[in-house]
Amino acid sequence: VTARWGLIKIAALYWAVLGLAMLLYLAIDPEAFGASVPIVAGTVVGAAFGQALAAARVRGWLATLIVLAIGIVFVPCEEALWLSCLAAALSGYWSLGDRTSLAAFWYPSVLWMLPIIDGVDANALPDRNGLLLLVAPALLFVVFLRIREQRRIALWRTVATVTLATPRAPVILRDGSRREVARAGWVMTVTALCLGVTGYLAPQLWRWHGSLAEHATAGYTAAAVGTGMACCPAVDAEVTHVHVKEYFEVRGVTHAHSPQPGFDCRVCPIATAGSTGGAGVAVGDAVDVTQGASTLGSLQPWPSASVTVSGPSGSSVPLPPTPTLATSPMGPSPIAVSVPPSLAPAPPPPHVVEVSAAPPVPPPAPPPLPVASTVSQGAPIAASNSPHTSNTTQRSPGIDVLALVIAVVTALAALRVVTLLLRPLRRLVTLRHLRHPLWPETVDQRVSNSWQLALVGLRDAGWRASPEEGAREFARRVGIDAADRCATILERARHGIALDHDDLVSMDVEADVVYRAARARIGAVARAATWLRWPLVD
Amino acid sequence: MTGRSVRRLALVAPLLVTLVVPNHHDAIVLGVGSVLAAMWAAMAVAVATRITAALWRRVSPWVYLDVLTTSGAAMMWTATMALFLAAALGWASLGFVAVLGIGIVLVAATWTATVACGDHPWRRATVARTIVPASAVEGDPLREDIRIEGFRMPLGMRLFVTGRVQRHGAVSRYVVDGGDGEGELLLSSELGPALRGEHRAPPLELWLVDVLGLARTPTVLRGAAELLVLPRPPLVDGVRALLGTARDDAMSVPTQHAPTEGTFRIREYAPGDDTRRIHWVRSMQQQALVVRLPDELPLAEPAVRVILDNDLDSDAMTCRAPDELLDALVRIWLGIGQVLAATGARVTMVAATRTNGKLDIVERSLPARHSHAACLLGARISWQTGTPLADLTSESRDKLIVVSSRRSRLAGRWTWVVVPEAMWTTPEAEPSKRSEWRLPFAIGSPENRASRRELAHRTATLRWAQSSYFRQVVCWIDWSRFKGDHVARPSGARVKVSVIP
Repeated sequence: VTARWGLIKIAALYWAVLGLAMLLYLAIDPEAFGASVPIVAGTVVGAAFGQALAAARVRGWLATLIVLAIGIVFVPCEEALWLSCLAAALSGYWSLGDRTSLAAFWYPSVLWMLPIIDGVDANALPDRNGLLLLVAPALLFVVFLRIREQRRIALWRTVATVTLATPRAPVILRDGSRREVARAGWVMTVTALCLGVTGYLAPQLWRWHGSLAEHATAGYTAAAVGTGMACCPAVDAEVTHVHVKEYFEVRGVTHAHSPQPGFDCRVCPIATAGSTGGAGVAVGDAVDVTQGASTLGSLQPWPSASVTVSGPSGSSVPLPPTPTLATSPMGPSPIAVSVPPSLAPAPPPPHVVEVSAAPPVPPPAPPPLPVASTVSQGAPIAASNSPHTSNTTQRSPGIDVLALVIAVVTALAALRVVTLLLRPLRRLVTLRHLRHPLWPETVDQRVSNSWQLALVGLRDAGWRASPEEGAREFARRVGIDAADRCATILERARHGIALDHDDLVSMDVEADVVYRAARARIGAVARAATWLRWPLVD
Repeated sequence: MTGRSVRRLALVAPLLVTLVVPNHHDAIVLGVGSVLAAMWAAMAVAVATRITAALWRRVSPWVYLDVLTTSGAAMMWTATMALFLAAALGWASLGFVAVLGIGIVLVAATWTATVACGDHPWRRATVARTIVPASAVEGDPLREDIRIEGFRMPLGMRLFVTGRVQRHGAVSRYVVDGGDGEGELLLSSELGPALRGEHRAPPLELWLVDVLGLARTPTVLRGAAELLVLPRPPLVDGVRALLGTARDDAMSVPTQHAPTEGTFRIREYAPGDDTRRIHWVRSMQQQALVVRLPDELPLAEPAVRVILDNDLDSDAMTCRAPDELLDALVRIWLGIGQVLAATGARVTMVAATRTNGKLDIVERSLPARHSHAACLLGARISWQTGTPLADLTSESRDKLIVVSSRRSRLAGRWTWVVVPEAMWTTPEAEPSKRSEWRLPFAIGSPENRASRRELAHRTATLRWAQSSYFRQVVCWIDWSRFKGDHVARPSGARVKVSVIP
């Protein structure tokens, strides 16, 4: 790999990572197309600009200044546009830089996180597609590292402040132990280990970020002080819009949860406004809900809050305040949160909410594909409260990435297996032709065929002929007498010295002897493995 | 803090950040921290095992702490920062990048310390390094062949090899991928033209790096080599003037023959003889080439001692000028001697050189034909300070010709051939001004790193300063003081000796 070719490979892979992330996001959630346009535009422009700066060998500090200056110019534009342009430009520059591989991969990770965290459920765990999408960038990062290292090696061999010798291509004179399978296994094991660690640990670092949705509940009516049980909400369902924090705002998940009277809450008389204090929260305000998934679980399930719903114009509408839950160890909580059953101290059973205020709707048909149970902002609450999704609302189905990947991988594996299974057949036919030509051939060609047969056997045993090495030199090196005799006849043929029938017969016999003698030097397993080797002679 | 310290500190930084900084964050401490701590512990155990083994073998254990490459350390620090930011900002991508980076580096470091840092890969390895041709003549193209056999390449690693044969020659660098390193492998590279001298190439440096370039092993030294490069004497014009203006060597008398003697003096052909002098009849009789010698004897066969002045202290010099000047001196010294010998003079080459580490005055008589012994002497010559020029003269009545780079203040009946430094050395490149806007090399090249740029700049500055100093030491600008002496100047592929008017 030359340095220039390595540069092209890195740039191509980088763009593939970016493009794949954006395509997958749109494929999984086609409704996000409108919101993605500025991100896509900013990413393309920014990454191209950053890589152009890198190719022009602009120093890092200057490139950063240029990018920041241009970012400031774009600030009046849409936020997503300049945010993506800024980050993509820096990332594009770092993608070709030295020692900046991880920093360069941050922005592609941001794009990959969009479809993942958009499908995160209330347990802060990605859904099936999300898990796959979490593993995919990790795998691509390993490939990215490997290609960068190849380019670094090419640069190390060609760029220096001292005079460098001109290297020749390395010549393998004899193969060592055959550990291709072990090598492939090692690569897969290490990669799987890294992917597993990443897939397990990364979601634990995610933080929730929440706000009340348009259909937010009006809050709790009252609390029975000293009973330890909150009052049931005045409106049927408590709806909270939460999402995992990210560089770009994602739409997140709208959680709807109705406490069951008698279990989760108690029915209280409706309190008048102002009977209890509490902080108002406007709809759409970003509020930190928890510090993390485990902290989320430590919250009380139904803390009381006084919320204020703001209208579309941003005006705040005071809602009836709710009393503070006396037994809550955390005191007044800013908003009400639906807690995943698995993390709550006293997990409530799944509860189907019936929305009495809305007209009765038929139960929705099961989704055609098992996709994430997330919801877009405009989704009706009724749908979110369906029996199928008691905690979250349903997002329009996109592509099932997992099924797609499984199909592609299976097809590739099948193709590979078929190719491997055909190799013994190819070898069998080739060896048959080298021993006994399948069609009439000249004497010189038959001599050459016999020599090829000997070379196949020697190659099976690990011996390789160097390009600058003559046939007799090679024959002497391998230490098989018959090989020397074969080489002698071959050189006579190459120099145009007439060969008679005895020479041809002798060549056939000696070549077969060489083939068998060489293969006898290796073990049975290695001998069997040679039937899968292709090409037969390098 | 040195780069090595930063690399070593990178091994423990994420653990400290995970455990110390975000203490308020239970999820990190309990979930992420515990898993990363377990991975770090595995890596620490692997490294500690190597350190213990090193202590047991009484070798320095510190090299085993330097298990991360610069790229690996940079990734570890970046991931640590991302982890910190993930705890502060909560962005999912930061957490992903942090865990991915730390995980990969820890896995790479653990694997490298476990399978590659020990002796196992090198136990049966033989590294044979040969320079082709083993005995070259100055200017011949050299090739380095490295044959590696029996090396056990650990999985997921690459072998890096680097070395330098000649002091000012090219540096060879090789990388061997995966399974290619096992069995028997031949690495070759073209080293460029041979430089005069007896070269003892230091051993090659070999080390392993994982395929992602994150972790490495300590350097192993194998494959020292030796190389002898003979000087290539040029044809020198104007040498006859060194013998004086009497021209008695040009006068000859006929040889007195006895009636039974042949017409000509003959001898065996030697390389360099004029083919027109081949006596074909005698050659056929003796089945060997025989040449006729001129049927005359010179009136005088002057005895000449050609002395090389190599008295100069240049050990601390890293610039190329001293070596280039000495190569030129030796070439001209031998060239003058050969031309004089070819004209019939009895030439003795004199120089001070080291033999088995001891400084000696070596004299070699130079026959008319090419003398391998004189060339061997020329190959061994280096700058020395133990034998002043005055010691090289003898009490004999021979004519003395001194080949030097500077006119000495010694008085005497010597004929000086001065080799001016400015004409025979390559000017050292002036340290270039570093551009603050553009990188000097292609982006991504390790040579762009500030530490390497600084080192390269310091080296270039030092060489340039030393070159200037050397020029001041050996230069001579007042030509009028050297009236009557001779100067040797390059004239194409030849050397021209002329009198300073």
